[in-house]
Amino acid sequence: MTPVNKSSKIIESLEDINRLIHEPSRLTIMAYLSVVESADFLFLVRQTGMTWGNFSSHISKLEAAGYVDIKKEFIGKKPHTVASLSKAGRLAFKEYRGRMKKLLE
Amino acid sequence: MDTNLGTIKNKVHFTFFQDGLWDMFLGIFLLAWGLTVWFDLPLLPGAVFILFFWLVLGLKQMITYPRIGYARPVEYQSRLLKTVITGIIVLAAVIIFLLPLLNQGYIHFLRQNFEFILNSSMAIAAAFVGYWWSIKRWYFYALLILVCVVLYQWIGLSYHISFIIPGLTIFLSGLAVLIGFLRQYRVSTEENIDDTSK
Repeated sequence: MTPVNKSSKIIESLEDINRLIHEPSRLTIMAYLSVVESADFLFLVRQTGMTWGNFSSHISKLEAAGYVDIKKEFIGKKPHTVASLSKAGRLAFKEYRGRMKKLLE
Repeated sequence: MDTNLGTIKNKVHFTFFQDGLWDMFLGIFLLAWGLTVWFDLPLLPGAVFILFFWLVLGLKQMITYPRIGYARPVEYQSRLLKTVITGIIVLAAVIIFLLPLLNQGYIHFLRQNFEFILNSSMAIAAAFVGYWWSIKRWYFYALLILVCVVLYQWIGLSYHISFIIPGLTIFLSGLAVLIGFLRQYRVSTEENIDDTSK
């Protein structure tokens, strides 16, 4: 393979990377959700160290993409929200990890 | 931001023991065994186990989850099952393969060393918890339980003391962890989470 072909292949691989997941904050949220069945927002905010506003904005994007399922409920009068990775989300994260590994090896 | 899945798994597992409640549970359970031996109260350990198990679950709802939130681990049940099965296999292996090598009858050996086997099993269980959930202080608990039963078996320490020393130490260690936890985290809701962050 010529150097030109090689670099164009790398660029093609980079273009295949899921940019929605690739953003560091969203990647962190996806990584946490990938090791649990579900987690409430308080847990995710505490663990990721994000501010509430930042976290809300990123998880909304993941929800809009269908990667995250969100269940809202009330405990007493306080809102309580639980998030989990959807099937599509788990698959997308698995694919993302595979592509990144392949790209970096 | 850490995205290493191994590190994240360990961090998530650590949160289950971050409040020290399970440490206190182990400490109280060992103390109950000590009191059973001391005052001949055969039902005490079982009663304490059931009562405090539910108490810990209730306290987690009241103390832990409002402070750091809650996550349901994917592997939780399979890990627990693996731990129990591995523990049973290790004990069975010891009984089946090790005892005949000692040229003594099983029953005689078991009777003679029942206390040592019982306490060692507890130490093994504590070490398993330390291993599966990546909680290093539980290795120390395992070592402490083991050292105390060794002192009982070969140095002549009273049997009930061999429970009370580790029980009290582990309970106090758990209490210290709980106090640190309460100082570090305040009760949070989704509305005031930024005000109560570390």
